[in-house]
Amino acid sequence: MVDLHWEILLIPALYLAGAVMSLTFKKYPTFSLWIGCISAVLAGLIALSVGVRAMLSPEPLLLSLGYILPGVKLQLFIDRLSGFFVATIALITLLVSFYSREYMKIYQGENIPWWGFCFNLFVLSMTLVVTVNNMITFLIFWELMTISSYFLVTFEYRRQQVRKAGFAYIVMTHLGTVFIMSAFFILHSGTGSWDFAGMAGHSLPEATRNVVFLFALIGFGTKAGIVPLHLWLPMAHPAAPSNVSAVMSGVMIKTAVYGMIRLIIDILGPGPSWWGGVVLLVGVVSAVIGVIYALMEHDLKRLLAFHSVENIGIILIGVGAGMIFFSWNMGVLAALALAAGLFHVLNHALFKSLLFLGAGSVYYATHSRDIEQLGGLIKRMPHTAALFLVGAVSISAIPPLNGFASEYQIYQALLGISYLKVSGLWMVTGILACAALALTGALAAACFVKAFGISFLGLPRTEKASGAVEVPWGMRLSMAPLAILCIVTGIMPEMVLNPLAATAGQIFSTAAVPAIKTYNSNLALLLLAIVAALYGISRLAGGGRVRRSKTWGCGIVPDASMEYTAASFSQPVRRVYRSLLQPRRKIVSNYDLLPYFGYKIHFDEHIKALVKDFLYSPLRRITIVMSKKWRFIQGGNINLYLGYIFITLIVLLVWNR
Amino acid sequence: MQVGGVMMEGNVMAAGGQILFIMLLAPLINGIIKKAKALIQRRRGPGILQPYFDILKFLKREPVVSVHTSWITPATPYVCLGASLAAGSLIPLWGESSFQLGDLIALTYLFALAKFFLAISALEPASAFGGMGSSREMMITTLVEPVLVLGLFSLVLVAGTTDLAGLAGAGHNPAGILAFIGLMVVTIAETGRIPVDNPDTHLELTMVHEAMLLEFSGRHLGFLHWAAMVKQTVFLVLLVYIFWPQAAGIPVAQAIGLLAGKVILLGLLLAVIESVMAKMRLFKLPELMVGGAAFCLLAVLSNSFL
Repeated sequence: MVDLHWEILLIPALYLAGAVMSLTFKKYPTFSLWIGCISAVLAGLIALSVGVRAMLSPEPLLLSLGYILPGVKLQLFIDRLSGFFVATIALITLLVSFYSREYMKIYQGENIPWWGFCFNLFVLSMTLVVTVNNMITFLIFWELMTISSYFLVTFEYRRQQVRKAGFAYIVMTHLGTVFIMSAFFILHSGTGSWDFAGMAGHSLPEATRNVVFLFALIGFGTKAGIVPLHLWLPMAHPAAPSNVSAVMSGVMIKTAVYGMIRLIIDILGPGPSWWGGVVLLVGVVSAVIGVIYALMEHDLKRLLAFHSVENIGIILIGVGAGMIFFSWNMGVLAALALAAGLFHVLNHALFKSLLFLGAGSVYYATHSRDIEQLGGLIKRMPHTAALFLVGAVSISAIPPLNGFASEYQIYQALLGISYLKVSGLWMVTGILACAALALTGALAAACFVKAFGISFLGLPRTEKASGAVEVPWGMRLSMAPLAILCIVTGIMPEMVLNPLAATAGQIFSTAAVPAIKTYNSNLALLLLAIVAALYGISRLAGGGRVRRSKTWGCGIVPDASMEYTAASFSQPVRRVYRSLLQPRRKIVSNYDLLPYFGYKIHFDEHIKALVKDFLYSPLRRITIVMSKKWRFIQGGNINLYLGYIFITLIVLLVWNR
Repeated sequence: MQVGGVMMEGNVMAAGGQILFIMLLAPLINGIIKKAKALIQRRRGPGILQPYFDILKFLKREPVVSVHTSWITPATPYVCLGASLAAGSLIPLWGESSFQLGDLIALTYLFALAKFFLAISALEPASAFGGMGSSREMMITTLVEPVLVLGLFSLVLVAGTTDLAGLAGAGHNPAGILAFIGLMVVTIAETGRIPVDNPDTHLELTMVHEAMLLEFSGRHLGFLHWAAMVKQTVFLVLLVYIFWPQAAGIPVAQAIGLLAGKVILLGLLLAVIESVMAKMRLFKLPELMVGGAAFCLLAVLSNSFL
């Protein structure tokens, strides 16, 4: 494997070169953008090939880059799991970089070289986070990832909304980092090692393991966006440029899934079965809550952000099922369940970045993200519409595309829990989780009927939409591979599933996992054959003529104001699930004579953000009250602060005597 | 597919035959339900073959589509009928196929494919009715889908597989009665019958499925009507297949006759339910579905704990 090494070194070199060159050539923004994107594309191509090869090879790849701190080596350790994440990150980021070359042009006047710098660093740090094998280096790159993505989120820092979102993002993820650090430090004090390999295989006391598990779940969960720690996601995604959202939602939140798998499953080893149960529960709650809030959103990117919460939930259902089997010592079933979760990681990366790039294209063409202002885009942007439709069908878990393929595997994993008949409680848990997954799928389909139907179909609702033109070829061409991959992984899931099962098998160090056989290709063929036969017969029988006429409007010529809106589309769901959403509506109608002839009706409906109101607002209030109580120690006198430092030093010296 | 040419040919023939069988049986079931309803209401009603004539009439007519539509509207009728037929061909009515086309999960999700396309195409002509139907249909789906999965998976729990071949007669036990009641509620909702939806009216207060079809005409409408009938038949066939299994080893002709007879009996049950009940308000539906869910959950519980 020696021949691989210089290639691997080329990856960080290219990203760093891209970052530095972007800033160097900031006098020439066009060239700066070009060089920033091209170096990310090239590095992505190399990383993709390295990742895929590492994922397929049973031998992990170890590359030592020397000491960066006394006792801390920068070492890249790419086993199958790391290889999978490296490949996923590389695939998505290289297409997004290609897309950005055109897309960033709408940000003329903003600091594009700074974007190129941060973007390259961001991708580099993500790649390194999933490959280093030492917790100090992991935390360094984790932090670099957070900070570089913070600057990407606050790219349009002149808008107050964006600064607020950036603040929420950095505060929440740092709180998460505190938990991750604590988990690592507890592990270090128990094992005496900073290396992942050194930390694994120690028998720690049960209580310590439980604490590490919970801290890791909270810490990584914040970054992943599990409910109730998801608050930053729907704020940060609409604030960031769409290409950045595509990377953050498509792959960055998956590094947290990687962290969970590495720390909880790989390092801690099999835990009690309630660990898996908790992860499963968190997954189910995130999936259902995420999708139901998504359905209430009319901002295309906030809607997609809530779907990230949903899909992280679905991924965690798979991971949780794997952990449950692991605790029961059933390696093969655990590997299959985890493989299902990892498969959904890839699929979500594919369709979510496709959808975010689609939303970016819509924004590029219309300068609007509010779907109430769109409509009729399929006529104006036919290619973007078709690509977005592929993403929409995928995310709704509809066959024959990839969302169905991975959710099917997750169904099987959950049913596996029930089939084992360990206890009645676990059997019911498995089935109930399946029902929740079905609910999630149905709500996601409803949401994407709305998102696609209202923004792309019908009549344009504003001039922004009616004046839209198709986006440049560069943007369409970078979305097309994602759409094609959504179809390919949907029709031939074995291609990805079997290597993933081997990957998961390596983590659970189980015997060879039997080859997974799926029927997805047969099903796709069957569907295609039947639809083609129906179409063929109807054409042969003389059909095919279609007359075009105006839509019937009860005698009035219908215009865009008579179309169903996104708010009216989601109204039945809002009403049925009102106990959760708590909608409040206000209708004010102005009229001259009779209430039947109002000339102006103001309609306003809000849903209550339960998590915010019942969890975060009290927390914030408590923090403020506590801070006020302790304000007296902040005298503002520098002598006082020096005194504090001195006293702290004495206390520490005495304590550590 | 690792099967030999001859076997493969046999399988394709069997699948094709089954598709034709369901396609041709579907209008008959609909005609019988209509006739039964008419008789209960003391009307003469149209003949039981009327749906065939209706479909033929529609298929001969040229469709008129709105100027606002794109390729999605003309594609939808084919996708809907195709997906429903594909779902029908998954149930191994005459023996197991040697290569798997799909299982129970695929069957339920194929209907989701049809629903998704119908719902988006209803938004295409920019009329308010289509959007209304589409929005209501998707809301009902969110209520129905979990109940459907709960009911079907209570039987999967017994069978230990989602393979349809393994599910034959899985509901032929006491707990199955609970699941049957729950799934009957689902069937009523999925086929757009009273008390969930009314297949006979075009009143905007009641319509769900019909509202989505409003802008379709001619051949397209014919296909969509046919798709709805096929969906109804597939659901009934699935219920018969799971709850009322056939004895093994009877000749094919007899098996077909028996199956058709049982499906017709179940259809008559639907007609009776539809005749004795009133249409529910749309926002009363959660209560009905929660009732269905309760039965399904009881089935799950009794299969897990007993």
